[in-house]
Amino acid sequence: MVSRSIRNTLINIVGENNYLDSVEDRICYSYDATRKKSLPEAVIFPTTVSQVSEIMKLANRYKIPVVPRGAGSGMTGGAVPSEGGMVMVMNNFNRILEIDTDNLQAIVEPGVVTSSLHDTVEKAGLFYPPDPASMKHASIGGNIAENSGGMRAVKYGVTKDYVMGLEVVIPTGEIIHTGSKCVKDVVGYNLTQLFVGSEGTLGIVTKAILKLLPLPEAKKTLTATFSSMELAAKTVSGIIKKRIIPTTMEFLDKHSICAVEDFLHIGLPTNAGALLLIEVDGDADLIGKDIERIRAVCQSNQALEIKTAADEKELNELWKARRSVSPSLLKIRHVKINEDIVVPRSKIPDIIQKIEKIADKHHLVIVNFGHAGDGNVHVNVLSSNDNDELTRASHAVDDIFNAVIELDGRISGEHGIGITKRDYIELCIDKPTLSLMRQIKKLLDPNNILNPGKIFP
Amino acid sequence: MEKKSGKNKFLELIGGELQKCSKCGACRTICPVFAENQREKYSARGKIALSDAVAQGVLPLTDEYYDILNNCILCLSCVENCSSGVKVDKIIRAARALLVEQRGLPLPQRIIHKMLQHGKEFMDLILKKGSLFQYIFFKSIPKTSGLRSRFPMPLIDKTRYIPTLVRKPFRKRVTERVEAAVPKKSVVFFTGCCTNYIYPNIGEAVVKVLNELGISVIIPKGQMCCGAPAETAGDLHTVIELAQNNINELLFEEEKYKVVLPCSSGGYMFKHIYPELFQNDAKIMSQAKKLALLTCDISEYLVKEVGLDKIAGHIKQAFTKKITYHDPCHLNRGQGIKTEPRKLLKILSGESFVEMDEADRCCGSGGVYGIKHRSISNKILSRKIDSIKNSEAEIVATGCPGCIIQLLDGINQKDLNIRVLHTVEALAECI
Repeated sequence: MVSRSIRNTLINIVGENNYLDSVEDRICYSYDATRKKSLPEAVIFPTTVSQVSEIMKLANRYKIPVVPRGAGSGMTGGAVPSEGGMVMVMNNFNRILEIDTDNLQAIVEPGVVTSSLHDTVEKAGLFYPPDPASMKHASIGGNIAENSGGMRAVKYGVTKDYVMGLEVVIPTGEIIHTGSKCVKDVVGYNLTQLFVGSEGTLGIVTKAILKLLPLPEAKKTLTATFSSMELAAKTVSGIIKKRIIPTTMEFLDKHSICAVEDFLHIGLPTNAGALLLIEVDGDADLIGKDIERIRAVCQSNQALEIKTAADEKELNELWKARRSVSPSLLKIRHVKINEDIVVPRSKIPDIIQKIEKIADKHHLVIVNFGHAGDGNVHVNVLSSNDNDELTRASHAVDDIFNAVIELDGRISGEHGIGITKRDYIELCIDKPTLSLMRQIKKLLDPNNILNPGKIFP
Repeated sequence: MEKKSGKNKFLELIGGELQKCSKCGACRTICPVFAENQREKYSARGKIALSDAVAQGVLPLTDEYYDILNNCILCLSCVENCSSGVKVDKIIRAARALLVEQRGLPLPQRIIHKMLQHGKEFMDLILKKGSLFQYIFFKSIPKTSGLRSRFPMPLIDKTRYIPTLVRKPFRKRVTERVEAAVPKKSVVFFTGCCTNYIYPNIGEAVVKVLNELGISVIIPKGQMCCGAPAETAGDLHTVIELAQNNINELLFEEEKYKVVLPCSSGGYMFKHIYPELFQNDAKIMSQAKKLALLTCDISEYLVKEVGLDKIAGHIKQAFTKKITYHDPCHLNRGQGIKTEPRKLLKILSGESFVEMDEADRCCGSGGVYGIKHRSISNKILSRKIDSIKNSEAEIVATGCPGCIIQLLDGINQKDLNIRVLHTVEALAECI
């Protein structure tokens, strides 16, 4: 409970403008992109690391839950204050503190919007690869907490591969520093990676040292359509088998193509069974050759049409289309159960086939799209608000997860566990491992105040 | 009982829209109001969440909800960018209508809307007197034709540029038909309030350009305000009355004439709002739809119905100064008219046309918004003026008198020497 005196102390710490508790403001910080909601008691916007530390000390003393939040664009309820308490919004931490062009690093605050970091470093000829579909509004802090992936993960990996060091306020209020600016650094435990992907349950990131790469000289995008998802999936495995690693290799099934075309009207082939969106980057001379080899694999898998993007405008439209798929699906049905399963990439054709069978079995529309190149498929089980259909949808999710496990996959590739996948975590993680994770949580957060109710069943 | 019925109607009207929101947060990137204050309640997603709470009966119609819902310019950028296809403007309009129904309008707006609705002559009179009074209350500022207030006045910021009201409205200056020398066709001209009462030179430019191109202009005397100020405030009764009047006045002689406007919000009202107002009256609805089909923004009419080649043939003297273009929200996002004004400006300025950054970003005007939310409006405006300044243009053209007032205000505040013209005024200067 945030009592009157705690409220006054909090206002003293952050200032009146940075503490909100009207019912209207509380409603506006009760949800994230899962559409799940739970009202917080207050919303607080710290501006400095010492404020974060003071707030945590207070919250720890009075056992008030604290839920860190960036843009609230997460897909598993990480920023939903499911046990009440305070939402701590990191929007005031919005500065890019340093772009170190000598060491190829950036030091940023967590509230920086991912795509604005892209724009800034690219002006200096540098490159920050992680590019979650929400990058235009999501922030770096949220990306680190969820270990966000993105489309370029096929070639460049995910957020964890770019975090070199962190400043973190742990639940008891101490400010700790992990990692450094050094490329090689084996001093002590690798705590940086403990916090990356911890879903805001172990600490609040207040500063991050990020690794940058030189900006690739050129890129080329190819689209190929197929009559079925199966052929598209075979093409993906075929490309990897040929030892080609594109920057991105995304696919859209027929439902996603139609939903997004309905929004953007850019002439996507609404009669195709599947669309592959493949980008290669690198040396201008070499990528032409890669594109030709990819084209050959598409042809051998009976592609209906193969095109390369003509200009920057067409390119931007294609990627905007891809990024818009997820929200555009709500036009088909009001309820969308969004899973982001991942399988070893050679198993993509198998999992697609299994999901199609599951959809038939439960008489449901299941939409698949996503990162074919890294095995990460966004499976969207659609439903109306009808109870019978909702029950079938939930059974379908169980079946999908079981299928994933059979293929040595994992139930989440990049969205995290949060509250929506809590009950399934034991499918992937054995008891002793989960128990160790609980002990780590308990050590760092003895009173279970930081983002309680997440990850663990 | 009555309150309940209002809320049920609200849910019925927009329940589907509220359900469509995926809460992804993409609207946070483009909302000009959110960009200035970074509080979720001002983003479209926040406004939708609150409206949903109202619809579900979780949140009563609080003062704060009222203030939040009114803190939206209706620039439509969230609507354009929403991959879930949520018509956020529809939600905001319905919520404002609900608030007006349950709480009434604030007194100043009630009086103004009544004036728009009933007293055309009365309004002319007020404005005539007003144009005398304004010299007493406001002092002229050099460089522009606007005024700054001499004494502190309620609601009005002292630094604000206040447009001059003319003694004789445009429609009193012209006859109901202005024939071209060799008339080939005719159009109906809907002037809009700003052209009639503040910028008669825009009206004169419309007539000059059309006449020059062999088009006679019919200016129905009975036309009234398009209703946009009342509509955005949620005062549906006023809008419906004004719409009925305008439909009657503008559709005549077997509806063979196109209706042209130099006003982006007016065009948006005719094309998209009027047809939605009369769901219960099939006859008026079909007339509203006819008007929607006949409505053309002046730039749209010139490019599509007259043709660029023909217009190019009438250009006597092209601009040599750098000229740029600001997209009015209700012309670009509201009506999809983006290329037409640029094509016109390019033929009258040749190589000297330049694009500014973020040309389609809102200028912060939004009619009454700029007056009621001066501080945020001013910040949005400042970013727009910086874009104009960085383009190094000496002239900025646009297609909306409301934007013209706002841009002049911003240029004045930053003490810049940049002319602001309506696209059709620029054309009239060259023809």
